[in-house]
Parts: sequence; structure tokens; C-alpha cells
Amino acid sequence: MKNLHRTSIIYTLLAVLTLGSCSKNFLAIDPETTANSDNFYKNQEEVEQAVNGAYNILQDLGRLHLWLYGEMRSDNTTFQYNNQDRGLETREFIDQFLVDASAEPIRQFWQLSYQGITRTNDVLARLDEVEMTDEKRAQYRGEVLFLRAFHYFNLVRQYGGVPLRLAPVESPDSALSKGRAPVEEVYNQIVSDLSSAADNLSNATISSAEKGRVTEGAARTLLAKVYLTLKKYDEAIDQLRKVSTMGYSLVTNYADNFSPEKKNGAESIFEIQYLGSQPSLSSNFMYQFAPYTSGSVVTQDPNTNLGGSAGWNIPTQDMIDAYEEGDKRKASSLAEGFTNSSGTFVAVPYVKKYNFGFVEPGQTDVNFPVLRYADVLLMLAECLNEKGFAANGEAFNLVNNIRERAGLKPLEARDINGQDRFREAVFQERRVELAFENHRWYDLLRTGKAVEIMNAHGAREKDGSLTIPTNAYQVTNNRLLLPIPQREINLDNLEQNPQ
Amino acid sequence: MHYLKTTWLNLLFCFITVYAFSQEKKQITGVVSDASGPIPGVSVLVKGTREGTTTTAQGAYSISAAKGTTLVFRNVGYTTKEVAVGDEPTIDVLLETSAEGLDEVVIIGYGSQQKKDLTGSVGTVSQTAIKDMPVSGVNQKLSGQIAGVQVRTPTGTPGGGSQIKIRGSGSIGAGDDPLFVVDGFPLTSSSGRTSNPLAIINPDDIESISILKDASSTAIYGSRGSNGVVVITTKKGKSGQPNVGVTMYTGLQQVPEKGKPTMLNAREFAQFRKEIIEDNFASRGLVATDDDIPVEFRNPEQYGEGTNWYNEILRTAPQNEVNANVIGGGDHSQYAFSLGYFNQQGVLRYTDYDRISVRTNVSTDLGKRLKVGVILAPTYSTQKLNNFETGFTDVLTSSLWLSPLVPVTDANGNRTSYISSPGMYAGPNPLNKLEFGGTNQKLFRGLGSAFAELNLFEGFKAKYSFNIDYSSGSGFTFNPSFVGGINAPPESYVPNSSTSKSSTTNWMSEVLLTYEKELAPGHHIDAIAGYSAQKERLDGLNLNATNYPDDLIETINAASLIPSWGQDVQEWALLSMFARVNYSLGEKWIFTGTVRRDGSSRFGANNKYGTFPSGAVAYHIGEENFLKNISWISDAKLRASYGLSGNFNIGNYTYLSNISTANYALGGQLAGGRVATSLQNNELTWEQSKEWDAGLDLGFLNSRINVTIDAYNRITTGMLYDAEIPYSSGFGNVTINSGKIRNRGLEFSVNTQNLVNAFKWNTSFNIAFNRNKVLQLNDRNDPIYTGRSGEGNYTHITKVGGPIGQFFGYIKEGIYMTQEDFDNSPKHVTSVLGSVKYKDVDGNGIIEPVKDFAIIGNPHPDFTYGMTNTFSYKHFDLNVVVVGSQGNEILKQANQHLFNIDGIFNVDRSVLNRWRSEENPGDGMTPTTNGARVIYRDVNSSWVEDGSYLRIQNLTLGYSLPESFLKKSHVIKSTRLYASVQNLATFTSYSGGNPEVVPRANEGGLSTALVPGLDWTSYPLPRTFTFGLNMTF
Repeated sequence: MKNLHRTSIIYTLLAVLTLGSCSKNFLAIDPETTANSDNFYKNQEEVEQAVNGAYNILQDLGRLHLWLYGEMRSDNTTFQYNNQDRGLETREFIDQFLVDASAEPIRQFWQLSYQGITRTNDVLARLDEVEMTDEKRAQYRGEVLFLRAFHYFNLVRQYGGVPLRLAPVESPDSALSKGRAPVEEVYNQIVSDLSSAADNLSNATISSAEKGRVTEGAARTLLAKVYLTLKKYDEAIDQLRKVSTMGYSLVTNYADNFSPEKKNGAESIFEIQYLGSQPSLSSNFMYQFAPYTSGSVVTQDPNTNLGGSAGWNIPTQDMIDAYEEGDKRKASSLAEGFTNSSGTFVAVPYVKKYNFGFVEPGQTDVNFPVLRYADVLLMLAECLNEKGFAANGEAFNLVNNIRERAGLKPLEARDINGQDRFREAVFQERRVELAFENHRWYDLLRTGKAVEIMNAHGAREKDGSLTIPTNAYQVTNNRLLLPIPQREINLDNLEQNPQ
Repeated sequence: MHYLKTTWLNLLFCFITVYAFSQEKKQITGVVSDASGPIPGVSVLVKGTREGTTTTAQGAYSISAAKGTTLVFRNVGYTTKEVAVGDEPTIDVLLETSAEGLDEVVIIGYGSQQKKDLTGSVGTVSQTAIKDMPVSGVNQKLSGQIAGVQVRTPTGTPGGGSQIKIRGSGSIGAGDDPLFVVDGFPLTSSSGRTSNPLAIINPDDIESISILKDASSTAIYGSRGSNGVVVITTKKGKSGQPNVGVTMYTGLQQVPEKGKPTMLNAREFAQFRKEIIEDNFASRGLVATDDDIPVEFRNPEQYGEGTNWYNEILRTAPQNEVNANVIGGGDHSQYAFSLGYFNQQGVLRYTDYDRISVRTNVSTDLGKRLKVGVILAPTYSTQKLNNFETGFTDVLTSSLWLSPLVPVTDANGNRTSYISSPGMYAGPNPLNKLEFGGTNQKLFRGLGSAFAELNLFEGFKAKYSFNIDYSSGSGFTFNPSFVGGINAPPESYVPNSSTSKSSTTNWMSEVLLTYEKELAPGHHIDAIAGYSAQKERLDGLNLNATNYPDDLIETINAASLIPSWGQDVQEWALLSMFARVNYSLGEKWIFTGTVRRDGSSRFGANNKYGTFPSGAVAYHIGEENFLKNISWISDAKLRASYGLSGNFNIGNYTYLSNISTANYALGGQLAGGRVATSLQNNELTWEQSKEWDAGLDLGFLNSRINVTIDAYNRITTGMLYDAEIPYSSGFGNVTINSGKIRNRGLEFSVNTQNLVNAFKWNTSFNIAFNRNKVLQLNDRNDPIYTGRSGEGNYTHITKVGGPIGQFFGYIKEGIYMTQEDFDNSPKHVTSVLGSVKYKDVDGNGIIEPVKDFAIIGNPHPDFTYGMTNTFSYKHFDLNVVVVGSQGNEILKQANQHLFNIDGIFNVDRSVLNRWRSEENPGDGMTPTTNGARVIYRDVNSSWVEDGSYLRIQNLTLGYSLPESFLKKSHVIKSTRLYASVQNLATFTSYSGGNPEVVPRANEGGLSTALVPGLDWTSYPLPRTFTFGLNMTF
């Protein structure tokens, strides 16, 4: 019996030990549905995926935030008051200068921009560890530096100084930022990133299958825009001149710039790429910009309901009136109303620039322009004029190229007889040429006209309105900056912008 | 899994080796009864050992004992009886009522103990008190039964769940659900609102429930023990004549009138809409004419009450249950079978829950040393629900705000298909949505286990068990075009569907060794040691399909577009070693020590393993001479324990930085992209709870009065916390171990036999006080803000020095009553004369969200309590269960739409007393519709209400047919009829329907533990009237 006990115990213990023998593998479980940072960023292909992932955030920003803050906040557009669905009132408050720091869209814009920045930082931090050709490495570096600068340029113009994150956060300990960097420091970084991006991209060759990637031209154009914003006209001219030798040209037909059939054309420098066949990669501007009361008349899509997500970015009367008689751009940019299903004309205007039908219900294929050559010509004209007015000089020619395509008579020095008049003319030309392309708000800001123009716009909007709060549109210099999201104030001890 | 095979072979070999040797043990069965019939819950013990069982609801027991040993029968209120085991296989026992004895067998982690030998704090539930409650899961029955165990049933969803919280909230991010262990198998389950994790066990199959509360009891479950453990054992076979039991009831459920939402009727709503326009014009110095007012609202007098959509979707709903079981066995084999059917129609129309459950429990001796057995328990349930409790557009919530102007049916008696009035949110007729747009869920879940137990030599046993829990579920929703959607009229509504399928497999392989020996007289030791490996894998798939050409075919093949889809795979594994030693010294001292070491796949590379020790001591001070001589003290025991346990509920891959897909388009083609979507944390590990517990068990007057008092102090450190981090880091949150929380409290329970003669009256009362305090949070001790109001602001704050999750919002001071008041008071940027006036907390002269938020309430109760009274006289019995909570507050988040005064929703009746002008200022609390409507519906102090309540949870009156009457049948052993009311009445000042609130998982918080006390529009909790019959044959 005694031996038997011993044998039994030995076997039992043996069984226990057997159970424990492969514990290490037993507890090593990696997720199956996602990769993880331990097994990613290992080869060129994966780095390229990470670069593409950095572009991805542009789609979300483009679908809402870029036009919400770049266009609808300006005097170009407003929204159609929706008395049935008040769920997106904070967007209205952004338009009406009533928005506060805890508004969802303010938080989202910040969040998406920094997600984009983090993705570029992730690539930059790992780029040198992975084996690939120097050309590819330079190209990837250039692409993500451009994207990082693009986000910081948006942030600094909308929020003022912001936390400057130039490396990925690797652990929870380093989650807090060093606080808001001064505006100047942010701009220095943007300039440095864009200069470096342009250099790194100078040898890149983008095949037609990859159209849509950042190019040297895009980096130099954005850099010029930054210099223009900083009123560094010489530096801006230098960059713009380089861009003008890169083979870009105005397309004959203005509307072709927006057509999905003619994506990334000769005039296009950088646009946000969408793909209509993929639900998550498609655009939907046509639906958001249609009057919410228009049923399927505007979109021609009977299967997509226009609820609270429609009726945004509606052109103001002032914008409609800004087009000169005979301007061909007007008809392809906006409509002054629609004829509803019972045959009545409803005078709710809407942006038409992006209406090219749909691929699947709710999904369109149109890209959104960010930088195009017409902008380069107008920026160059503006810079040259700032350096010194020259009657019927190069600056006149640059603007007249654009006016000619629009079917308008050229500017002449006998009408535009001085630097101020020319400045006004370029400002006006930019408004209509680049209408609804998210430039207006920034043009108002950098020309110092925002407070004056927006108060006048507010007075026009409020006149006779029963829906606009009486305290709307009290635009001051302080209110030109968005409030820092309250969440960030709390979590990151950031200083709030004075309101 | 190869080592499993090896283990099996090893064990098999062991079995064969020892097969020939065994002991002279046999199965004894019988029925324990008193003068009025069988007694359930009597503990039956083989004297001098730890082997024991308790009698079933029919009073039957079965135990294996050798000839010559003695069986001890004990029950509260009865004289303990000892019977020697002879040759007879059946021992029926008649117990005398008395005040003697309080010992019963209590199931604990990995074993059982006599109650008198317990060193930790373990609560047990009397089956008699809860047996007649008409609920789908046993967790709902536990309400009010045990001190410190708070059970809340927040919804009346058919088949829906309850939340159990033991000794307060010890965790801020990892959930505070206890661990459920069924027949030794720790289940993966968290309390859900729409699905009850314990619905897989037919309550009728349960033999005993113990709740392990203190760390010395739960430490044996290591990294899963810190929220307490609910240990459930199911009925097992017993040798003897087959005992057939049948229980059934039928009943009706109804929503009580008290607590229903109070919305405007049609006339009032039309008037309200008309006045909004008039007031808006007046505020701009204009006068509204008839042309300015939509025709529907011009003449409110034309409407009467209109439609109360909420009442339209309610009904009186039946509920039925039938269970049958057979328990019996021979000398060497025992069996228990049961079959149960449960059907609950919902009190919201077109919702229901249906369950069939089967359970088999068979064991047999193979020779004299080896016993093997199998448990199989498949359950199949179907549930028809809708999009309840998902947001303000769900069908239930929409029934509150849909236009009361629209009739339910048109002139032809057909349902109005689309409910809309000018300038209002519109939606489908809720009846159509409920009937045709519901979600059908099916769930099969099978629990199975097989074991082999080898008696190696006297006192030493080895048991191997393999357990498996497999479930396969599916859900399907089809939204036909004729129903429509919110702001999507049927004419243009595209039919769509969503499908989900998932299966989960969880297995555990375990070896358990037990040893018991009287080392020397007065020195008794029993010990266990075990090793287990557990692994779970979930596979889930979901598909959304749309562009169906019509409503004819609902399956996905008929759809022309799959706009979104997803797959999820979740796996975790846990490796554990554990041991416990109990040592008793004489009659006075008992010592317990436990330790567990867990390794988990869920934790960071640097912290995969943890060790959880505990120790406890009990001292029978009543055995000391100075107390022994005091006749009115019948028993006195002091307990003390200290231990460490953990909480591992944080999701499976949280420590990793996940790389997810984020594609882009290039050259008109998809360009594959990937990005990091979470932050790596290699330090991530379990949160640890250190708890001491001091207890006192007292019996007075021959144990007619038993009192248990426990005091505890639990410090939870390194809390698993989904910390919000600045977005500039690229991420919104990261799970970290941080902070320190203390829960300390006092629990007091008393059981008394007030009357013990022909008229019997027993009372059990318990009350628990828990205080929750945050001692530390993160490096800078910044508060944690959680929750999300409809306007995107926080609703809760957790900060050092206060309890977890206090309510956080504006302090409402009233409204700007006069121009002077308006001009001289701090304002929000949207404020107007007559709009809501909040306190300028930071004193900067401007009202702003968050900056002007303050703590506005506390969701934690001062104390919770329960009382059960049972009365019996001759053949009648009466049972009353009362539960309550005192001092907790509720944040009624439903106010964010009930108080939406935009005019797009029907609205709470309070608007009838709103400010309209300085001359007509209303009640001073309800603002004008002219402006600042958004901040009026943001979180503020007027949402906070006292949530104290006292509920008569259950009242049951039963009648057992006299034995003399039954004897004639020769078949029926006992018959009892009863009538019962569940949720009879709730006494509370809370304005909502049900003060037992639990936040929804999707309530915007990172973890529900951090957003306590929130109430939305919940599926209403019904009052249930049942009539039942229990029989044994």
C-alpha cells in the first residue's frame, strides 16, 4: 500500500507539472484582427502602409472640419436653419461666433489634427530603422513632413499657439505635452518641415497609379502660403516662382478641377483623394451641401435621406452677389435654389461645385482641392503687388489669366490704379475663384479684414431673422481664434484663448 | 493542448493502478421533514469529517458514508439529530423544532466548510426566501438577502439582467462585477442589461449560493477575486427512490403607474408650439400673426388628449415557467435531470424572451476508489427586443417625444405609418417599429464538465476536471421600408438589415488535490492544492446590408450593398496555481491560509504574473468558560482576516499598441494603410485589493437570535484605469495602473426566530454601510472627468478625497426673471432674458461649461438594507422580502430630451409653468423658449434627485395540501400552491420609474464604474403577479 501511495502521488504531481510545462506560449496571445507595434514597421511595404495611414486622416478632416472652419465660418457661406433637427447646433454656433470650448466639433478638429500629426511622427521615428532605398526613404520623409506641416498650419491659424509634438508618444508617462508653444515657434517648425519636405521630394517620381501623393510642388506651394501668411513676400515669391516652372497650368474648363472624371489634373497641386466605390473612402459633399429640404432633387439620389446632415455651407446672398455679371464660374460653383418635386422654386442656394452624381447611394467620388495652380498665380500676383505696384505689370497678367478663363474682361491699370486697389482686386478674385475651397476664412485672417467683414456679414444675416440668436456675430479680435477644447485645458493644463 | 492529452493519460494510469483498492462506503439517501412536511436546506454531515450536503427543496438528501459512521442533521430552528449508519440505505429523519444548532455546510471556493468553521466573511442565501420569485436569473433573487451585496435590476427587459456589487466600488476602470463560479467553473460573464449572464442556469436547478466577500475568501480566486465571488452549486443526484419535482407558475406583468413619464398632451403641445413662436416674435418687438404659426398649432383647442405614445406601446404581458426534475440513484451511481421552460412576454409590445434549459448531472463509482461524473447543461434562448436603451432615437425613448397630435390609427383603422408634425423630429409609428423592426436574438450556451475523483488513501483525494462553456449566438434586425426611420419617412426609406454572429469557447482544465487529517487529538488539518489552465476564444462577425429592392426577402443575399462589416477575435488565457490550508486547534481556534499565483495573457510583458496570499483566524470565544456559563449566549465567534486579491477585467490586448487599418485612395485605387490606434503599456498589470475583515458571529437564546457583524477596510491600488490623455499625444486614452481607493464599511445581519410554535415567524434583516473614498489618482492627482451629456460635457467627476463618480454639472439658480436680473448676472454667451441662470462657479462673470461646473450630487448610498419575514401557520406560509437603499442620488439624464424646449420634441409638463415675460414669469425655474435652450438641457443640479427607496420586492402566500389528503393519491408526496407579487410597491421620491439605476455600457463613459447613478429611459420594470404550484412525486 505504501508504495502505491507514493506511485499515485508521483503520477499526480507529474500530471500537474505537465500541465504547467508550456506556460510561456500559453500566455502569449497576440490579437488576430490587428497587427501590433511589436510586429509592425518591419519592412518598406509596412512603412508605406504607415505613410498611407497618415494620409487617411485628411479624408475625415476634409469631410467636415476643413470646410466648417475654412468656409462656413467666413462670410461666404452659412447654413440652412433646420427647425426639425437641432442636433448639430454647435456647428451653427461656430458660424455665429457663439461656440464654446466644450463643443464637439472643436474637440474633434483638434483630435483629428493631432491624430494626423502622430501618424507622421510614427513614420519619422521608424523610417531610418527599416531597410529601403534612399530615394524611397526621402520620399516618405517628404510626404509625412508635408502632412505634419499641413496640420500645424491649420491648428496655428485656428487655435493660435498649440502643443508642438515632434516625436511619437511611446508610453503613458509621456502623454502630457509641454504646453502651448508660442505661435512663432509653431510657424518656425512649419517652415522647417515644408522646406525639408520640398528637398526630400525633389527627386521623387510619382507614377500615375500613385497620383495624389504629396509632391515637391505641393510642399513649395504650401510653404509659399505660409510665407504669405507671415507677410514674408520675398520668400513666398521665391517658392512660387519655383512652382511655376514645374509644369502646372490652368485647365480650360474651370469645372474640370472638381470633376471626378478629371482628378489630379494639370492645375491640381494637392487634393484630398476620395474613392466613391468604397463606403469608408468615399466623399459626400454633395449631400452635406444640399438644402435639407431638397429631397432627391439636388442629389438625384432617391435612396439617401437628407436630414440634419444636410443644409450646410449654404452660400450667402453676399457671396452670390460677389460674382460679376457673366462670370462663368458662378454657374459651376453654386445654384440659387432648386425646383422641388411639386414644381415650386425654392430659393435656398447651395454649393454646386462638388455635384457630379454618386457611385453608390450616399457615396460620391469627388476629391476635394487643397492647392491648385490658380491659387499659385493669385498668391504670386498678391506678393508682387505687395512688393510694389506695377501698372499692367506681371501681377495684372497673372490675375487676368484667371479672369480670362472665367469669361471676364481683364483688369486694367486705368481702373485698378494703385496698390490698394490691386490688393482689393486680388482679394475679390480669390473669393470667387477659390469659393468653397476653404480659403476664404484664412484670407480674411491674414489680410486683417476679418473683424470688419464678419461684423458686416453678421448684421446682414441677423437682419429680419427669427432664428439667429440676438447675440450672434459679435466678432472681436479675440473671437477670431477658436477656444482650445475644454478637454485639453483640463487634461493638459493648457491656457485658454481669451474670448 | 497536447499536454492535456498527456495529463489524461497520466491520470488514467493512476486510476488503473488504484482501481482495485477502495473503501466500504455507500450511498445513503432519505428525506428530512418536520411535523408539517419536508425541510429544505438541512445540512447533513458525516460526523468527524468535512463531507456533507444539504437537503433539496423537497427535503431529500444523499450522502456517501461508511457503515458505523454517524450522520448529523442540522438546521436553524431544529434540534440537531445524529443517526448511526447501519445496513439500511435509506435514513428518513424527523427533526424537532428547537432553538439548538446553527451549523450548516457552506460552499466556499474549492470546497465546503461547516458554517461554524468559517474564518472569512461568506454570505449564504436561504432558498426558501427566494424560491418563488418569478425572475429569469438567480442574480435577481439575491436582492436584499445578504449584507453588503447590492443587487440592482435597472430594466424590465425580458430576459434582462441585474448588477451585483459587493462591498462598494473597488475599481474605477475594470468593472465591479463579481466572479461567478458554477460547480467549480469560473464563468466569463458580466452583468448585462439586456442579457442576463446567469440566465444560462435555471434558478430551479440551483442547490446553494454562497457569496465570498472578504479577501481571505476570495484570494483563492486570485486575479479575479477582488470584486467578490458568487459560488453556485447545482443539484446533484442522490441515492434512493427517484424523487420527481415539478414547479410551475403563470403570471401577468404590468407597468406601475407611478414613475411613468409625464409629457404634454396634444392640446397642451399645440399651445406650447404656438407660444414658442409668439414669444420669439415678442422678444424681437414683433407680434406673431396667424400666418406665422403652422396651421397644425393655430387652434390648440381642436385637440383633446391626443396620443400618449408611451402608453400605446405598453401592455399587460404574461409570464410562465415550468420546471421538472428527477433526482435519484443507486448505491454506486447517482443522477439528477431537469428540464425547464421559461417564457416572458415583454410589457413593451412585441418583445419577449423564451428559454429551454436542460441539465444532467450523473456520477458513478468505478470500483471503490474512483468516482467519475459528467454535467451537461445546454440552454437555448430566443429574445425579441428592439433598439432599446441606445439613445434618444430608440423606439422606447421616441415614444416620449413623438408628436402627440398624430393619432395611432387613421380613419380606416390602419396604423399611421409616420409620426410627424411641422418643425418636429419625426419617426416611424412605434408600434410598427416594435412589430416589424425588432431584433431577434438566439443564444445557445452549453456548460459541460467531466471529472474523475480518485481517493488515493485515507483523507487524500485527487480530482481532475475538464470544463467547457460553449456559446453560439446570433442577432438579426431587418428594417423594412414601410416602417421608416427617424426623420426618414417610409416613402424614401431603404430596407436594410444588420446581422451578428458570435461563438465563444471557454475551457478549463484543473487538477485539485485535497487532504484531510486529524494529526493528533485536537489538531485537525485540511488542505487543498490545485493547478488550472483556462482559455477563452471569441469569434464574432457582423454585417450591415442595405439597398434591398423590397421588403420581400430579408436575408442578406437579397441586399445589393454591404456598406460595413467586421470581425472580432478575442482570446485570453490564465494559468493558475493555488493552495489552502485550514488548521483547527481544539474547539477554539481555526486558522486558514491561502495563496494563488496567476499568470494572464492580458498583461504587459513586464508584469504577467501575480501572487495573491491571504490569512484568517477564527476564535470560538463562546467555548471559553467565562462565556460558556452565560446561558443566554449560545455561540460566540470572533474572526479576523487579511488578504490580497486582484481584478483582471481590462480587455484582452489592452497593453499592446494595436495597428489597425486606415486606408487611403491613390491614383483612383485603394491604397492600403495602417496606423497605431492605441498606446503601448508594458507595465500594465492587475489592480490589487488589500482587505482586512473583522467579524463577530453571535447566537443568543439557544440560537433563536443569530447576529453577524463584519467590519472591513479594502484598499485598492494600481487601479486599472482607462485614463484620458491629451489628444495631442495622438490618442484619447490609455489603460494604466494608477491610484488608490478605499472602501470601508460595516455589515450587520440578524436572523431571529420570533415565534416557533404552531405559528412560526422568522425574520432576517441585514444592513450595510459602505464608504468609498479616492485616496490617490495619478501623479498630479488631477480629477478624472467622465460621462458625456447630450451637449458633450462631462457628467461625473472622481477626485481625491471624495467618492468615485460624483455628479458634476451646472448649479441651477433659477432663471433671469427681470431685465435688471439679466443685466446684473453672469451670463452664458447664448443667455437671454428669461433663460436659465446657472451659478458662476469660477466667478469670472461668464457662464461657461465645465469651468462653472461643480459637484452636484453623490450616487453612493449611506446604507442599503434588506429584510425577509417568513410566517407559517399550519399549511399556510407567507414570505415578504423588502429591500432598500438610503441616501443615494440619481442623475436623471433623460432630462436632456425631456427638457428639450426647442419644440422639436414633446416635452415634460414642467414647461407649462415656464417664463414667458416679466409679467408672466412662471414657476421661476422653467425658462423661456427664446434662447439658451441648449445649456438648459445640459447637465445641471435640477437633474439630481434623491434616489432613496424602499421596495416590497416580493410577497408570497403559499398553501401546502395536507399530507392526509395527499396520501390517498399514493403518488403525490407534496403539493404547495402559492400566489406571489414581485415588485409590489416602491416607496421613493424619485420621479423616474425605477430607482435601481445602472448606467448603460454605451453611456459615453469610459467605464460604467465611473458614471454611477445615471438614469435614461429604461425598459420599464413591471410588477408581476403570479400563481404557482410546486409538487413532488
